[in-house]
Amino acid sequence: MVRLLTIVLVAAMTVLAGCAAKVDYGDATARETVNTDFGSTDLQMIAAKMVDDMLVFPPIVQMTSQRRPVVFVDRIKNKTTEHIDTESITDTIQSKLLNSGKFRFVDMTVVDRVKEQLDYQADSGLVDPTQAVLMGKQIGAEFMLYGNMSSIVKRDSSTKDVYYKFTLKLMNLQTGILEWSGEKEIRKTRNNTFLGL
Amino acid sequence: MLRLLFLALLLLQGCSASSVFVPYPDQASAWVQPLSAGQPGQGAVKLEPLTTREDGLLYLQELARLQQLDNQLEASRATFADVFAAYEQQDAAATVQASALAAGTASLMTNDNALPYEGYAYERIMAHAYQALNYLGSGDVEGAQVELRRAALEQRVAQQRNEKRIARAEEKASEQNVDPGQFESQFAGLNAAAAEVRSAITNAWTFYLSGAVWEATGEYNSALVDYKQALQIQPDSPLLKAAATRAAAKVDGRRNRDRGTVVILHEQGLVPPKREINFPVPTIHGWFAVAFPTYQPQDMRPPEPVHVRAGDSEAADTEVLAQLNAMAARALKDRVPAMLVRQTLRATAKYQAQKTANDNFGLAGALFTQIYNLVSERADLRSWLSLPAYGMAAEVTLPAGEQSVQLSGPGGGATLTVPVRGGGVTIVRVVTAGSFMHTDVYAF
Repeated sequence: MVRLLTIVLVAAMTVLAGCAAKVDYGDATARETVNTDFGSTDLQMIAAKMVDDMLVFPPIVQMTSQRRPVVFVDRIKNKTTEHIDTESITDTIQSKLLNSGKFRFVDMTVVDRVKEQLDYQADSGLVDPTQAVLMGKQIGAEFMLYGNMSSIVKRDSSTKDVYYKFTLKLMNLQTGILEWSGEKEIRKTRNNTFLGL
Repeated sequence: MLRLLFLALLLLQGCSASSVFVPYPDQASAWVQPLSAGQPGQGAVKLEPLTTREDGLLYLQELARLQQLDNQLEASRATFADVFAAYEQQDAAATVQASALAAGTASLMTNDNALPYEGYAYERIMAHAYQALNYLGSGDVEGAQVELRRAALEQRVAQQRNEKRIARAEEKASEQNVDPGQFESQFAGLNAAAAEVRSAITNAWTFYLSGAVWEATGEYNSALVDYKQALQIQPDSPLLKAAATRAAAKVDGRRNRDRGTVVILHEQGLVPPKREINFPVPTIHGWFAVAFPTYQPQDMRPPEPVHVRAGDSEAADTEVLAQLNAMAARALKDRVPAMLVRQTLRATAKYQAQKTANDNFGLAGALFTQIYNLVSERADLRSWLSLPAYGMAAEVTLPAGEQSVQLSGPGGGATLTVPVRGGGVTIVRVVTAGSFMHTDVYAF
């Protein structure tokens, strides 16, 4: 009887050991398939594809062989059925392009704060005028990076199919010519299991 | 079987206050009453602790709506996000679920209220529309557009589920030689008979809302599509025809730059609660009394439009685009076959318990189980009760600039200052229920 009790107790402890919440570090680039919602893997796939496509495109290779053109990132319009932080996607693309050494960027999201600082340096009287950053010396962007993210979702009682299409375009601001455009498609499908907890 | 009964009792000890033994409409009066009296915040306070229950989805929906009407937009947005998470969890759930089986066992010895609350398609559509209004209220147009797309997705899913029914109605109409020329050429293809079916499944009011948002943000093509979707549901609506015509003109680049449109979205009344009726069903052991949920015609109140007046000559009454009470009734009707099956099983199980008790414990046992069966026999009356009974709307065209718009309804009135953009759209939202009137203005 005692032995039986011990076995039951040990079995119970083994089962319950798995119940305690566990925290661990994971690979940030590991495939994430928790659900069909837009996730980290989608973001990484999109950014990698865009940057790879852009950097091997012959006219771009030629254009960036002698100089590093200045680009500004407009917004990616979210046309999906999810609340996606598209700025996070463009941030990743921007970092990758910047680190490739082919492009330089101006950041339009901080213009207000930069202006505030320049005004302070010029007008407050606290900054040595010889050391102050001069107004009107910034370099204007030559290209604009912008795009769209759209999705088609279909669902019935047991399956869900999500198709994402991410389009990125590089426009020459002077001429209005589209220099490059890239696209990444992602399809995710969920099939519900028959049995579950 | 008796053991099963005790097990059920044990399982249910924790839920004496939930809908298993207290009918949901009785609980809901704690927040529906304050809402009609113009105090949605009071109801929200009472609801908050209830959202952690098994059927939390239902309470979350109520809470999110009340928070929104109490101008707690951030809180409402977070609550609606929880609502959608719950719905999505349901979508991804396995066809046969162990936990659902446990609830099923409990429900077999009590009633359908022991089953988790699944929500209805019409509720889910409205939840997305309300979330869009939350985003609009905090100035996030892109977020609102996302929610409107999700609402449209839910409408599509609901429509697909009922495709056969719509096709049947369309066929019937063609058999009866319904003149397709009854609609003007640009609205050809609308089918009155199918529209009747559609109107109980899909919601023209949310399509109109999303059409207005698209139009206000300059996406005229999307606006036209949504207005046409709404027209498929309400083909006779002059309001929708005017909106579709206007959007079509804007697609072609024609628009009046001196005047703008003010869209008045009106949510009127409260959706009626379900009522319980008792009637006998046959089982192999004879007839057994069971409780069923139903909607009673006397609970259906006629719509009470709001009269809109602006400028010198512009006036309109809000007209009905969606009858949520009818959609609720349709949704309930769709669940009747499954409910009948469960009721029959339950009657059998309860009969067995009674018989076993009678055999083993004589009169006392029989009386005990009889009382239990009687008390536990309650219909599933759960539904989102702070929803309006009618989704209504009106439009007025006003000169660009700040304009004063007067609203007057049976419960009171309001005068709003509305910014009108030439060629643009401004959305005014009016919620009336009893003496309660809530207004929002969304300018783009």
